Amino acid sequence: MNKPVNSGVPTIFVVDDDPAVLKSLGRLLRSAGLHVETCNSPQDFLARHNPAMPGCLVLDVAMPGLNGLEVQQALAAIGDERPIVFLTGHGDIPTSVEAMKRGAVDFLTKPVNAEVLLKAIHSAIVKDSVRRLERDEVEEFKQRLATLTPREREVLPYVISGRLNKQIAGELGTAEKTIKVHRARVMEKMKVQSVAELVRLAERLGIRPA
Amino acid sequence: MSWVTIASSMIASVCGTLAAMHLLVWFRQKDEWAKLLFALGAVAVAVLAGIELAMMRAETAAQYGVLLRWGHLPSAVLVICIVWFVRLFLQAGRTWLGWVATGTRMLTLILNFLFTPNISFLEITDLGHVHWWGGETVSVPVGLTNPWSIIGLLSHLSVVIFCVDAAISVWRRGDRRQSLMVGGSAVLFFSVAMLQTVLIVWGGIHIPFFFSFSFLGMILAMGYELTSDVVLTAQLSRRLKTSEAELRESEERLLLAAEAASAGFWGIDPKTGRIWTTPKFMEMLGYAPESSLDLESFLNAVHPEDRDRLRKTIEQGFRSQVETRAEFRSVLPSGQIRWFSARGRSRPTSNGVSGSLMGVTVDVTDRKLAEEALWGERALTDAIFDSAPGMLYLYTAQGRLLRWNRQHETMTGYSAEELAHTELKDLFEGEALATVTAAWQKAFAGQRVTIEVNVKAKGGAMIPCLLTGVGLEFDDEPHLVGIGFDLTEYRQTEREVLRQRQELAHLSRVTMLGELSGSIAHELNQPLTAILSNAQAAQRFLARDNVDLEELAAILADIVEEDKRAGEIIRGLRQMLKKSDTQRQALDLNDMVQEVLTLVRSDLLNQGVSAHTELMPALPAVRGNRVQLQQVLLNLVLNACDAMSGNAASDRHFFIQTEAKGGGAVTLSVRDRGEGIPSDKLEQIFEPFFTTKREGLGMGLAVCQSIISAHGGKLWAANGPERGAIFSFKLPITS
Repeated sequence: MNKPVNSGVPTIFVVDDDPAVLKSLGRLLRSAGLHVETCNSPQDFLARHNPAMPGCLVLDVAMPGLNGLEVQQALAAIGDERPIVFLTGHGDIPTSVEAMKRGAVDFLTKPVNAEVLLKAIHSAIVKDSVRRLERDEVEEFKQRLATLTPREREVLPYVISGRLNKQIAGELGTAEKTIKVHRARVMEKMKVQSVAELVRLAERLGIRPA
Repeated sequence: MSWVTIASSMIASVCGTLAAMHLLVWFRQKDEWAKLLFALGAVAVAVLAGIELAMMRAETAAQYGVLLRWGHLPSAVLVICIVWFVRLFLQAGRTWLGWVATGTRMLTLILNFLFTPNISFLEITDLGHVHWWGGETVSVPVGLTNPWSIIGLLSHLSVVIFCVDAAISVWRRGDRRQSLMVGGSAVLFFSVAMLQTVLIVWGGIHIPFFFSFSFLGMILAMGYELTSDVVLTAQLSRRLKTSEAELRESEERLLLAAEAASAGFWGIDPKTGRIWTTPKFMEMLGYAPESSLDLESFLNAVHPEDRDRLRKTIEQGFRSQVETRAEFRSVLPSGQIRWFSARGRSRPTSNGVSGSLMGVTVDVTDRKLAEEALWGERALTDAIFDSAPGMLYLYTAQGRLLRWNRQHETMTGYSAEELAHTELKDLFEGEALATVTAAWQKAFAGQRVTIEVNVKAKGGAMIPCLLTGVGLEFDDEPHLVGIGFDLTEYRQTEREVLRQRQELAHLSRVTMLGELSGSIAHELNQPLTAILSNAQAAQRFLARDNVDLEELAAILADIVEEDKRAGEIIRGLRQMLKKSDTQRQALDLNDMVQEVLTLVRSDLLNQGVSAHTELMPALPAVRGNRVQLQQVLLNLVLNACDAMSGNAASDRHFFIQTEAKGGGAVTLSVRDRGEGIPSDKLEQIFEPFFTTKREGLGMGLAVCQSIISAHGGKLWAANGPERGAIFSFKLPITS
């Protein structure tokens, strides 16, 4: 289950319009053994980033053109859920609340201590990898679900509702024996050993019991 | 007829005519004795000519002797007349010599009549007949010479000596012609006569006596002189008549002038005390014109306060011969008091005793009253001078101080005596002296001048003063009058105002920086962030086994760089927060625009405002105070941001433009895209306490304007062609 779907090294994008700050942050993160991409403007970042690349984003709030929050919104708009660690010169509360509400990992005030920053980055990376793992699992489940026949797909909600074959046959107006075969084919195709397991899987796929 | 007869009768008639003429003159002017003497002499020559002719025609020796004896009579008359004529006419010749000549001649005449036939011959034995020129035969005497005739020769000799002496003194006197004509001819012809006597009487030479020929020459010469003298006299008398008329005329003119000048003439006799006056003088004193006056009654009418003084002056006037002057008051019979001015001089008489004191007196009451009024005027101008709030002065074109007021003494510390000898160079030094001299020249040329210079007070203290000068002309000389104000207090007030203005500017600056504190903190955080991150990165690199020294060196260099950057920001902040920095330097407004934009960068980002610059390259420098001008620009930028707070986020832009459009000035303008300024408020916005913002103090633009004014520039506001406001300021380019 914990097998990584994406085996790529996480990339930390750092975006700041101040070249000196950008350079020093890059240096710090590299010293911690991280893979860093520095961008001197939001536009530069948006042009260079790839949603498939694992990792996170260290984003300065105050920048000309697009500010940090606008970059966050732009990413959300294209469904990129890359975790963001915000850096700001002066942390004003409304901005930080807004950022956190929209899913920011952290909102740090400059000058930022290395420990704090690296911790935030690590949690962002973990969050990113968990998110990516979960997304990969659901993808797998969807593929399994796609192998079911329509009848099997019809039977599935009844199975996860905990009904007996007899009950299901009665409700669908068919023979108990037939239902028994369908149940076995569903269990086999969905690669589950027990009904409990199938219930958890169906839940991930958003299939509600009948 | 024989020529001798003709010549003799001509001599006689010429002499007779001359005699008659001068006798006639003498009859009219009896005191002209010289003319009578000349006339008698001429008659004598005429008679002598007749006797000599008779002698030349004599038939017998006895006849000749008698004629010669009578011939001595006209000779004697002639000699005596000529001697005294010379004495009287030439006013020369020693009198005693004249008497000797007269005496010897009289003796000769007496002896002549004592001897028979005469003094020349003891006896005329025979008559010789001599053949003369022109076939004439004349009688000449032959006989024994009378030794007494030596007396006659002596007589001639004394006449010659007398005449020589007279001629010399006339020559010396300068009347050379007269000396030659009268004295010279007398000497010459008497000498000829003497020679003739000697030759005939002593030498036995046979020639006739013809003295009359010689004497004719003398008479003609003297007659010429005498006649020219008569002519001269006539001319003189004509001239005299003319000058008498002129004198009368000028006397009349003088009297007229005196009348016109209200002058009265007078004379005082020191012995009798009587006063002679012109009618005008009596009229002046209030008496009837013809009444008589003496010194005592005159002095009694003089004002008691002036009486003794005047009496002394008059007494002094009697004694000395220099001009005496006096001014006195006299009480007229009407009781009126009048002022008189008199001047007089006493004339010495021939014997050296002082004569009368004569002079002229004029009524000067009007002048005296005017003078009194003038003194009143002077007192008034003095009071006006002293009441002036500064030092007043009146200078001559030579830079000498002519008049001043008390404040002049108080301010400069010099006494009136010292100021009376003060010149420009005593009150001004160096550059101030040059400034004042130049300004005064302009004032003399008719300009009104105002200058600010230091006046050097006594003891060397320098007083800043405002001086004015206006040229004026009196006594035909250019002068300058003006007033000087002590600017010490004004300068203090000015300094105080400047201090307050700086304080206000500082307050406004601090307020503004307070508003920007977040932005400034952010600006400061940037380098601090870089430093911290670099340092911590370095620590991590060091913890590794293989340390990359190059990387470390780069990190340290960056740390140093960022530290400097932070220092710069702090230094700028400290300057902005400093109270009174008045230092001025050459500034590039383009650099300043960048500095200010750095300061507000973060603020602009927060507000979503974009700054745009249109900076003219190679902008000429201006001279100013960096902090104060930054404050102005900062203020304009923040105002622009505020003006656009209601705009859509994408519509918040302002533009800073710099340019140098001729005229030796640099213009900087800040254009926003806000709502602009109501046109009736365009001036008002610069007034203190005028504000459109809720939290505004209303001092920002007022402070900005005072800063720009202090830099010799101008700050103004306008609305943009489409929208928004444009604030601009113009500063002079440094030369």
